[in-house]
Amino acid sequence: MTDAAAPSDRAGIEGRVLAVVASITGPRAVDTSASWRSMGMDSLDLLSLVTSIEDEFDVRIPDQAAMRLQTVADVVALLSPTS
Amino acid sequence: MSSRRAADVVVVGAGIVGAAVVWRLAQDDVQVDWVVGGGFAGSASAAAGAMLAVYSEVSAHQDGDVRDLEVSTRRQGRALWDTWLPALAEASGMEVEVSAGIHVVGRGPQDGESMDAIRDAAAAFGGRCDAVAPADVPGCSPDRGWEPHEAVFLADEASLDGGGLLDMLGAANRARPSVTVIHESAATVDRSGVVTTDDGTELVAGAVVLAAGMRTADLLQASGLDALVPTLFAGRGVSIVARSPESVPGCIRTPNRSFACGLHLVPRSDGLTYLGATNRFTTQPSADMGPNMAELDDLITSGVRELDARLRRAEVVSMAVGHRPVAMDRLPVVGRTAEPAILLATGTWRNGFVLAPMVADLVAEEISGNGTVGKHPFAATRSIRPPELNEASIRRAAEGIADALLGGGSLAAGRNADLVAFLQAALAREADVPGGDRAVARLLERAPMEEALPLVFDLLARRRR
Repeated sequence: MTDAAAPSDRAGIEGRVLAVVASITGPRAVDTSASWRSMGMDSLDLLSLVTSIEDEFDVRIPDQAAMRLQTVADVVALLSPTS
Repeated sequence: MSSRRAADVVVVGAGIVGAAVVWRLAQDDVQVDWVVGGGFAGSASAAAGAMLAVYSEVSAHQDGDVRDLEVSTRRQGRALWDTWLPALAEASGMEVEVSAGIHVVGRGPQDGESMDAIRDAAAAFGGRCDAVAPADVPGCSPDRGWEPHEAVFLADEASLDGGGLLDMLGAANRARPSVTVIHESAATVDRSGVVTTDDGTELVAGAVVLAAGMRTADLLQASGLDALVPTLFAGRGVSIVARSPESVPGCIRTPNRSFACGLHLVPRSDGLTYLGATNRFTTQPSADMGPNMAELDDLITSGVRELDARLRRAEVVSMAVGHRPVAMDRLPVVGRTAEPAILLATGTWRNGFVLAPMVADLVAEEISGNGTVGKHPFAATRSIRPPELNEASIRRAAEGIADALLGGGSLAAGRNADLVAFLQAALAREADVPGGDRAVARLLERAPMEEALPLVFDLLARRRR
């Protein structure tokens, strides 16, 4: 991939990620740079999050990469096509 | 700013195993750089009851060979402490009070099986194990209706003040001219064993011993060397130290219980009492996360009603969280890795305090090139077979989850067994069906262990809610 993601792509991805997060935490305002822990999510919630993101975006996120994801923004960055 | 230091051995880890390895190496006049940055908050040592338990750690349903190996190893560790403690007291000028013997109290059928296993193990090894009338266990004052059904006194076991012991071991180590304490944290280690600390100092030595509990795996992962360490999980435990009007005269414990509190009360110095501990299996611990309400509720509710109802008036002095490092075969992970300059000393699970001198001996023997040199069952390079999830282990998990759900209460007449049977069927299905819930499949792929089954229950309950 050679093009940086257009802002609208990113916004679309972020919206879908937030919907997955809401399916786990219940609807609430989410700061995309907040840690999972500050959102009350534990390792089991993260496991659900990662597998739901995989289903939603039809990707595979290995454990190593999954453990590096700290925030919604990290997930969006992982899923966004970059140069 | 970077600088370099040279020593014979670098030891990383401020908990009981790291401290014991340093002390043992110091006896051979090995020059040690001891990396203690960050202390041991969140590690198993931080929350441990520090029981020197040999037989009372035995569980029912253990494979006979594994039981014998574990008991004989704990016997070695226990015996070594009898020579270590006076030497440490002399070297440090400090004392730690040892409470001789442990009372084990059991109630209900699960405890009953474990009590039988404890008696069997003591008999097999010639350990002292005396039946005691439950009402005669000193300091045991359960709530009405929660009295133990049986009790034994294990005279060969002991408990001590874990915090005091760590202080004494630290002081003894610092008093040795051959030991230099490095107050930074280890950031990375390379294949030749050079440790780089947070401030960029390079610690160069012939060997490095990673004895940082769960963090051992994190450090190797940060260094791109995660293949050197077997997969480690954590048993997250919460404990409380309280000031009770009636301090407990000696250590009282229940047998280990699957997925629930194996409770223990341990006398601490200054009239304080330690109550531990929860045990929640986790594949991905948050070491800096404090106790949550459910953990405290479990611990306090069970501790007060089963061991000492008077504790409800006790003033809470401190709480701690610890992560017991455990490999898939639940045995310690000790000795040289595939990179000969890097040695491990971790995976001591519930037994870090009792095993520390034995683990330290194994490490020292490997470093000096004497003795068994890796020919022990705990070698870091052994191949670890994931345990099998079978009908019996799933049944035990179902019983444990049902007990936890019932919280000591009961369902409508005759329905408790139905709940267990239903949970067993549901867990067996989830553990078996590849097309089932993917988060469950992923969890069990990572940790195909009986200990992970309660997490399957939690995961499914959350996802369907």
